[in-house]
Amino acid sequence: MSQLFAPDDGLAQLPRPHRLASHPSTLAVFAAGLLITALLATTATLLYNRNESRLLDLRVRDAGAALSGGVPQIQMPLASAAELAQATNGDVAKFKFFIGADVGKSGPFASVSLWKLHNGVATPLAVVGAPAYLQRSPGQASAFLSPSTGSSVLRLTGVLTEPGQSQIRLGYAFAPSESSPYVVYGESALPGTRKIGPIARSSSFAGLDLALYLGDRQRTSDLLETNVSQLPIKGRSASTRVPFGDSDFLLVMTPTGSLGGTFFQSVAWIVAVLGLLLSLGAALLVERLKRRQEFAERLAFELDAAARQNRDLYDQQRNIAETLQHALLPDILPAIPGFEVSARYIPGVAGMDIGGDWYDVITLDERHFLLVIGDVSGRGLRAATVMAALRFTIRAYAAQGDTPTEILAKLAHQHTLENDGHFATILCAAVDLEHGEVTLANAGHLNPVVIQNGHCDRVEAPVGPPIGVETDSGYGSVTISLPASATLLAFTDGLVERRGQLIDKGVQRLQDVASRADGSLTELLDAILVEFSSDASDDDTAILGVRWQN
Amino acid sequence: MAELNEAGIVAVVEESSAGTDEPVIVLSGELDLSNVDVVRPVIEQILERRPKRIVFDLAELQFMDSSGLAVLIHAANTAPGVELRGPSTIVRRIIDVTGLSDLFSIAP
Repeated sequence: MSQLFAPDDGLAQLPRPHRLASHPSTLAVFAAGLLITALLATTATLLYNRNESRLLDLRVRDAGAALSGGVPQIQMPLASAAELAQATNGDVAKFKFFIGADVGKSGPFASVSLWKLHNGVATPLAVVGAPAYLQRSPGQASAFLSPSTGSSVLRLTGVLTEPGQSQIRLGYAFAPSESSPYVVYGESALPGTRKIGPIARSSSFAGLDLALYLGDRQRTSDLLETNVSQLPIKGRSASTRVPFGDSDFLLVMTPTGSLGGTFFQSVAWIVAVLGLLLSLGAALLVERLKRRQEFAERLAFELDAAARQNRDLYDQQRNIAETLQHALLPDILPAIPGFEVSARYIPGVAGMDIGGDWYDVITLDERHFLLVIGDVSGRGLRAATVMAALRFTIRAYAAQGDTPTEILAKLAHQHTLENDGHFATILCAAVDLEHGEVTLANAGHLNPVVIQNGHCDRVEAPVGPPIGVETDSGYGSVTISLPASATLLAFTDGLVERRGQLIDKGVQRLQDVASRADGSLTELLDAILVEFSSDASDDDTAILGVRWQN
Repeated sequence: MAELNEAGIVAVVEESSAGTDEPVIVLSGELDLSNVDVVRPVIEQILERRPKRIVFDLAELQFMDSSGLAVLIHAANTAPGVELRGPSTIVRRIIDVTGLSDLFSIAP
C-alpha cells in the first residue's frame, strides 16, 4: 500500500490521538461481533444438545427393546418347567431333564429349582445347578414363593447376595396356575461388582454408558449392572423402564461421546472461534478506517486553514498593492473653473502585483495646466517606484515651466531601461485655457482621442520612443485647438489592447462608444468602462478625460 | 538551439544560428509577463557574446506585452543592431504605436 505522505512529511506531523485509545465505533463493532458470535454459538449448542438428546432417546428406546427381547429367555423356560411339573405331578426326573440345558454355562440360569407348596411352606423337590441363594433361608423362601400361588406371573426377588460369594443373583419364581402346588424358581448370576466390560461396537449399546436397575428407581442396592464408575449417572442421560414379570428394569444411559458425530460437537466452538476472529478483524478494520478518516479530516482541516491563511495573505497583499497604487495616483483632481476633469483607474484582473499605470493633472496657473498619462512596463513594486519617480520628476519639470517636449527629452536623458529595469510610455499635454489649445508630446504612448459634435477622432501627435530607450531621436509635439464643449480622452493600452486583435480595433471601438455617448464627462467614462468591461484586459487601465465648458 | 517550452509557457526561443555573428532568436506564441523571465536569460546569454547583430524571428509570435517589448528594447540598447523579422500585423502595430519602429530594422 502506497503511503499518501512520507513519514517525514510535515503534514504527517499533525497531532495524533493517543495510540491506545481505540475509537468508540471499534468497540461497538467488536461488541456487536461478540454478541452475534455468542448468539450463533448458543444456537449451535442448543441445536446440538437437542439433536443429541433426540438421538439418545432413540438409542435408549432401542436398547430397551433389546432388553425386553431378553425377557422370554428367562420367563419361557421357567413357565414351561412349571407346566411340566404340574402335568407330571412333580416328576423330578422329567423336570431335571427339561431344565438342564438352561442351567449353567449354556443357559441364563445359575440355579433352577422345583418347589412344592403346602400350607404356606415351600419345600424344594429338586435343584439343578448351584444351590439357590434363597434355599438357605426356608422362611424367606416360603414367604417369597407362596404368594405366587394363584398367579401366572413371573415374580422377581430383590438382589440376592450370599456371604463369601462373589456373585449376586436375581431370583424369579413362576407358578403355572392357582391350583398347582408347584413353583419353579430360577436364579441368574450377575457379577458381584455389578460391573460389565466394555460394550462391543456392534452392540445396540455401543457409544453409550449404562446402568441397569431393578425396579423403577436409581438405588445403589437395586443396581444390577453398569459400566460406569460414578453413580448415579450425571449429565446428559435418558432412561427407559422395561416391564419384567411383576417388576421393572430401569435402564439409564449416557453417551460416551457425541452421538451425532464429533463435527457437530465442534460446530459451536468453530462458530465461536471464527466469530471471535471475525469480530476482532472487523474491529481492527474499523479502527484503521476510523483513524484514516480522522487523519484525512485533520489534514483537510489543516489544508483548509492553510488555504484560508493563504487567501487572507493574498487579499492583504492585494489590498496593500491597491492602497499603494491609489496613494500614488492623485487623490483629488484640481478644480479648474470652466474645465471638467475626470479619471478612472481599474486594476488588471491578472496577478496581484501593483501595476505601473498613472495619470496626473498639474496646475501651472489658473489658465494653464499639464495633463499626464503614463504606463510603466511590467508590474510590481519596482515598476510602481519607477512610476512614482517619473510622476514626481514630471511635476518638478512642469513647475520649472518646461514644455511637454522638454519634459520628455529630460526624462529620456536620465531614465534608462538598463538602470531602472522598466521603460515607460508617457503622454504629456499642456492645456492653455486662454487660447483653447493643447500641446501634446508623446513618448511611445497611445495617442488620445478628441470628441466634438458627435465625432471622435484620434489626435495624431508624433510618437517618439518610450522613456528608457537609449536613442538620440528627440520628441516632437503637436498643438491642437479645442472648441467649447470638446472632450479630450487619454488612456493606457489596458483599455483597448486585446490579445489576437489589432490595437487599432480597440481604439476604433473606443471611438464608436465615445461618439455615441452624450451627457456628462463622468457618464462618458462610465459608458466606456461598461463597453470594455465585457472582455476586460488582464492589464491595468487608466483613463483621463477633460472637457471644456462654456 | 535553446528551446523553452515549459508548462504554461508558449514563448519558444530558438537560436537557430548559434555561434555565428548573427544569432537568430525565434519567438513564438505569446510573450508576456508570465513567461518573459524564462526568455530573458537566454537572450542575455546571447547578448553577452556581443554579437554585432541579433535577429528576432517574430513570424510565429502572436502577442507581446510591454514586458516583451522591454526584452527587445534591452537587446536594442545592448547590441549594435537588432532586426525584427516577419512580425505579424498585430505585433507590428504594437511596435509602431509604442514609437519603436526606428529602434529596430524591421524586415517583412
